[in-house]
Amino acid sequence: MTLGLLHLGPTLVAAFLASLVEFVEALTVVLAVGATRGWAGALLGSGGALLVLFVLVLVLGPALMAVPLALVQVVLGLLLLMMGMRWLRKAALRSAGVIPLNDEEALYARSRASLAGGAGRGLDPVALSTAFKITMIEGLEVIFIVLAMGSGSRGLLWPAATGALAALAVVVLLGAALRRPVARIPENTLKFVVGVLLCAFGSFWIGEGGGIAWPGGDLFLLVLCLGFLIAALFAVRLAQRRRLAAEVRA
Amino acid sequence: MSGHLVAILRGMGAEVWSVFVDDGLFAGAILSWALLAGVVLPQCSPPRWLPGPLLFAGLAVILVAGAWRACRKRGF
Repeated sequence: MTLGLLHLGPTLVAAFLASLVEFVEALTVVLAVGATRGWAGALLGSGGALLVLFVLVLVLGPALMAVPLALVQVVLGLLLLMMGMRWLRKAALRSAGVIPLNDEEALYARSRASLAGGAGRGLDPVALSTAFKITMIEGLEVIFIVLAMGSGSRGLLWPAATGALAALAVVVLLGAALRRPVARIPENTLKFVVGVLLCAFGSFWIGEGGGIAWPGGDLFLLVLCLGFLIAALFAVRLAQRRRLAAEVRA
Repeated sequence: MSGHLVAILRGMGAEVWSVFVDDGLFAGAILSWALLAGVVLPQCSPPRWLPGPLLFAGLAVILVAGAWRACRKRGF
């Protein structure tokens, strides 16, 4: 029971938070497309991409079940780890002020400027393809996260999918209510937290697939979370010191 | 039309790739260490307690070194 909760809770939370970040990015561009080129193309493009993604899940989910669990754990664990480490390093550099924070308002303004002009009557192909592309890209990331988070054990796919669907529902409701970018979500903090979870799960699944006997069994997941958090905070401190030292020199 | 579709698909492929790799050396170090400590080492009959903490320790070092290197690349 304890082991079940130890996996279910973090899987659901990580899938929800990671999907929230991806869906907010997609929503920002879709809103810009809708406001600039018309809502028919924006909604049809996004809807079409969601349909393709749904079919992908239906095909890939059962196909993964046919592959030996150890191989799935190692391959998806590696991808999860590479994604998590990339997120965590970027979040640490943003926290330290080395690279600028993501700004959804600026992305919205940039997208509107690049899409401005040329919208005619009827279905706009530029709106359709832009909305399709951004929804597919961000949606593929979500599908990967769901499959990877759910790959460690056969029963984890549903909590991961539930987390992602909950994030989609939250973002769709926010988008419908606001009709403008969701700028208040602290994206860097979310990426920091999710990066820690992705790194912990990724390395845990690689070890499980590779035959590592984790000290304390599944409880070592908590140690990994804490360890990656400490390493990332240390990276923030180090990057901050380097930035401040460079500013003093200049 | 097909050229436009190919350009869209190529762009999507590049964006999906960048989800995992934005710095070749950083990604290569993660991949190499994870395979070495997480898959190869456990097959060599080391002490049972060793591979897990070793896998984590190496990844933590790669993360900190990656942040350090990124600072240097940006002139800090």
